[in-house]
Amino acid sequence: MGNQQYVTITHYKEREFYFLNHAVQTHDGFISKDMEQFHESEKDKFIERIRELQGQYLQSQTISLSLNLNQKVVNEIDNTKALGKIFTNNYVVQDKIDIGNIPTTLYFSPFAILYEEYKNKLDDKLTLLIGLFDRKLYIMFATKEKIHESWTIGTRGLTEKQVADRVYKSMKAYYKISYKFADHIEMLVTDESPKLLKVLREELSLNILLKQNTIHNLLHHMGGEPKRTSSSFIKSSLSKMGDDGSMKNAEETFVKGAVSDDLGNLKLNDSSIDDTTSTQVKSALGGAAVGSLFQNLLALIPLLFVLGMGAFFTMKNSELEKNISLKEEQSLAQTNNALLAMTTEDIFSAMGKNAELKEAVISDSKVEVKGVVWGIEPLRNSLNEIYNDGDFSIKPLENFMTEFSFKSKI
Amino acid sequence: MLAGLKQLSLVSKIIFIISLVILFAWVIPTMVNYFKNVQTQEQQVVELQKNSSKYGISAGDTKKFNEESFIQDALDSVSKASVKSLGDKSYDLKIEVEKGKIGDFNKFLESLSLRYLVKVTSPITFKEQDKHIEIKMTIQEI
Repeated sequence: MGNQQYVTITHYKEREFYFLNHAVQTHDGFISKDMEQFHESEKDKFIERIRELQGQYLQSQTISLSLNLNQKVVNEIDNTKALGKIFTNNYVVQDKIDIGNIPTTLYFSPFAILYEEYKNKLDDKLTLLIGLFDRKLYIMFATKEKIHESWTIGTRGLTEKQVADRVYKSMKAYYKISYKFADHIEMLVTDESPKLLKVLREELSLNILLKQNTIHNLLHHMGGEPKRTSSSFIKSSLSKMGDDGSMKNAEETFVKGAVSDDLGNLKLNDSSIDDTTSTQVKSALGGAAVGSLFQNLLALIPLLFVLGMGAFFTMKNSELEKNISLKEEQSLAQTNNALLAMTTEDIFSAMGKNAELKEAVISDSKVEVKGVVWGIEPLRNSLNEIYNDGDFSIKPLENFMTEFSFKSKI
Repeated sequence: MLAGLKQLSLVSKIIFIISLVILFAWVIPTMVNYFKNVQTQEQQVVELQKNSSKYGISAGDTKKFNEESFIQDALDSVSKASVKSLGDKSYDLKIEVEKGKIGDFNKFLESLSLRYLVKVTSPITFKEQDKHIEIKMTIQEI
């Protein structure tokens, strides 16, 4: 029998390690358990552990974080991409959900987390919000009305100075389009990086307010209330569910299905998440695996096409080579026959009226002729003209006739 | 396009790379070879057509060897003709021509491999018999 408490299971991948944590959600916040770490070679063990926790806690959400660099905050819905609503008319989009086959029911963007952390501080003044997650900077310019612009900057391989320079360039780029500089900067870091902070402060010449928290705690916080879970990435197909294709329908479906509206009941009565909850969310996110399978099947098309083309041309080429070889042999045979005919013609012309054939053997390498001769010298001369190294001999016969024989190599 | 490739899964990328390797290592060389062979064959056909036209044979008239039709064709040029099968697609030919008409046999011999897919595999023997010359040779189907 599983535990009836509402639990948030959080995981993410940093470099070659998967980090897993779970926390029991209460009225007064969450109580986090020990963090577990798995090397990427232990992926199966890691997935098994998540399933074990899911089985152990019947009321749970499995939450992860998108560390994709290709995500952006936009003001309009893009149904072709995976998207999550941050707040009114502010959505975070990325091309697809990239969780692979790791069980996940809620999937957050660092931008959504940043907004959640600072939303109460935002006012009419422009604030630059910087989040440092897994050595990547998620930057956005925001007021309480709107997220105006966002950037992601990878810091791997860069010095602190280079990172600060890129943040400054982002600010300059934003200034070029809006003629505004951020009034102040807030920074949320999930790794300790005092040197980066120091350099950023120096380079930007601005006071940066710092907040530090772990990714797990931020995710437990995001999963703690249904209102916040609406900032999760929603699978792109879900966002198309409504007849009018509006985000509203999709969001309603997701929020109603995936997370109970009354988290209080969740925590206390532990039974308000119905069975359809996890089924819907899992099927929504399971779609990613189906999509991947579909993509792999699609990728087979060029392979099959290439193999088909190769097989076709190999077969045709083999037929053609057979045909060419046949024609070559035919041409050779015809040439050989023409030479034999020419030799025969020569021999018979040489004999003319000076001799009469008894027998002859003619091949492409030799000539042997035997017959009766009347004009010895003219015949010898004629044959020697054609084959000057031939062997000509004569033999008197009993009937006063003379027999000749001629042999020569060709 | 590069952005599209980046989005592909690892398996899709591997399949894509395998497709490219097969394309460049096998398909394209085979295609090039095929088109070269097409040209070679065209040249051969032109050459054979040129030779065939000398003997009044239409292009594509080359037949597979058949004893009956061979004898029928041969009798247009020589007095007598007979064929004896030796097996293994080889045949002994016995032909008779009138003494003064050895030129007819020569023309027949020159065009033999243009009419039938055969080659002469033995020396040709000529023997005088009264007013005729008996000619023997062995041919084999190509």
